[in-house]
Amino acid sequence: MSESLKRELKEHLIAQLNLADLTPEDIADDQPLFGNGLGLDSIDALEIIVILDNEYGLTLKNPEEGKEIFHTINSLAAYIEKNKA
Amino acid sequence: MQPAILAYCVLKGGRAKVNGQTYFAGSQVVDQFLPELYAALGLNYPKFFKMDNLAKLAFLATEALLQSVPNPLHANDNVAQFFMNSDSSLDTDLVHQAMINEHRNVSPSVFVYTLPNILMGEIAIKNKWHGENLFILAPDFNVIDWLNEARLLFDLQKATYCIGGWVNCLNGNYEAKLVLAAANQPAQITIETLKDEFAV
Repeated sequence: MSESLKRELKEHLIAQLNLADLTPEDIADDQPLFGNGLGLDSIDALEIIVILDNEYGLTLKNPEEGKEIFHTINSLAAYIEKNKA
Repeated sequence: MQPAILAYCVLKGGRAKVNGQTYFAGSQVVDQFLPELYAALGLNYPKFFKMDNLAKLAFLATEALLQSVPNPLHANDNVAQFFMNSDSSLDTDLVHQAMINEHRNVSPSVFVYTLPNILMGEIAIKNKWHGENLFILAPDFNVIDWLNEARLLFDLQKATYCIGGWVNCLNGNYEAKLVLAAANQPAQITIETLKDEFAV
């Protein structure tokens, strides 16, 4: 899995979700993004959907998949690599 | 029952004054002043950085007030919030509208602040308050009207404390004039002092 894609994703998350107190190094690839991990909330989930659309041209077709796709940076990057044209 | 004024604060022009004393002086630019004041207050609340400037302003003014009183307010203290301003959430509404005009995907984290009363939710979540809350639009701030509303809440036993006042932010201009009032406590500050301080 592309290390540059994972770093790019972290930078997008920090910028778009206003995680002003974090750097990419603070976010582990396998750290849960929601709940007791990074502590993101439902508004952040919607913002990630916008990031996928704006930055990677990807539209989440099945919202049920969101929980699995948005679990970690690893799962997000895997989804992008698999689906990006 | 006349509300007892426990504390007040004014945030504007790069300066934070609490009970008439300058607490912090920094940048006059709102985007710099707010994080500077956040640091000066010694806060550690990452959700602050997600708020829009209006919510940040109210949040920090509230924190400044709470830090100024000797006895901390608790979740079960029945704290009401009553805020007012003249420009609603227009500062963020304009950002949201610009995204629509430019045919960009709108940002959920911007959209969520396109109502001014969301700032009371932020303050309530931080402090775990479940009390009454009211946000009204008015051309300017009349502290006597604010105190009358606080008195009504106390008389009806809807609240033991009332916090809020004026919080306005638009196009880089910002101003907060907040009061913390209580029922059944000795007043620390006179109404005349408030009228003088808030008139400036």
